[in-house]
Amino acid sequence: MAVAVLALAPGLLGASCQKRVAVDHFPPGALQVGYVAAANYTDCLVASVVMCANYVRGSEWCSAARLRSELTAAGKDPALTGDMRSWLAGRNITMIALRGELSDAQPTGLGWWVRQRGYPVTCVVNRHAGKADYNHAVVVIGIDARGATADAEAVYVLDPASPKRLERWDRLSFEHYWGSGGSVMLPLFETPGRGTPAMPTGARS
Amino acid sequence: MRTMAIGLVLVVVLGMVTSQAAAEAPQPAAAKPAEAKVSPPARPLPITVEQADALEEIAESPPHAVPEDTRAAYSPEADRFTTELSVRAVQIGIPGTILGILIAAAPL
Repeated sequence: MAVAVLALAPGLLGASCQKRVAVDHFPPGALQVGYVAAANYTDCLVASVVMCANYVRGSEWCSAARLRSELTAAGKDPALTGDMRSWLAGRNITMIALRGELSDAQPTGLGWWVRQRGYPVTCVVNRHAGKADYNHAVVVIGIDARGATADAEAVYVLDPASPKRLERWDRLSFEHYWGSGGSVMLPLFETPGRGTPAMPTGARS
Repeated sequence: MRTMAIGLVLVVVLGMVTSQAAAEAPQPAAAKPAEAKVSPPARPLPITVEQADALEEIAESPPHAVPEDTRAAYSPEADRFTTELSVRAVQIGIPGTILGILIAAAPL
């Protein structure tokens, strides 16, 4: 009895700890997007947008802390897509918010953005269907399919709140969580014809 | 000695026969190679002005439109509830584990 409890103790104690694992190996076909962790539960949109913007810019365009503080200083809610869109628009980054699908259809298909155009895309997911308070932003960086025209088998996501960081969700799970979040996707790109996006105040170069 | 020599010869002959049979056996058809996975562009392909305008238009049309006030993160209320739950779990879990160890380790 004593031995059994002692053997279980480390597991019980460790259950509440979260081990952070770096994204060392990206699966084939996945975009190598730098991971940004969310500082708290309400910070996942900020972290996701920073991941996407830094990848699209090809540099450390902005940090999550900086983006959050600038949004707050501007009186905007860092969790609202509309506020995020308008703030980015002022910095020559266009973020589109639309309901999409898991296909390669142009331009509403997630596959078109990720597989065909090479953009990581922020998607709104929800594990508590019907409760918008639990919406959560993740970044889709890859779609696992056997061929160019094949249906997706799984989706690779960078989850700003996950201890694993990079997760592979099978198609059904992703469609369920994404559908519960309204199938909202937020692709962002440099506003065409406007030159280099303006740096946020005090952002790292 | 003689028995050993016969045994050795038998082993060699058997080995040769089986290896030849294996070589002549019909090989299973090679598995059809999986279609190569799609590799996205190394860098994001630029979006043109026309594409951006078309995207804005599609994003504003009813089937694809998303309300401006769509929340893409936990609300502060959900955050508070989740934090309280995790704090309670830790508060209960650690003393509970220690108590269990002490009870189990106590002399009967």
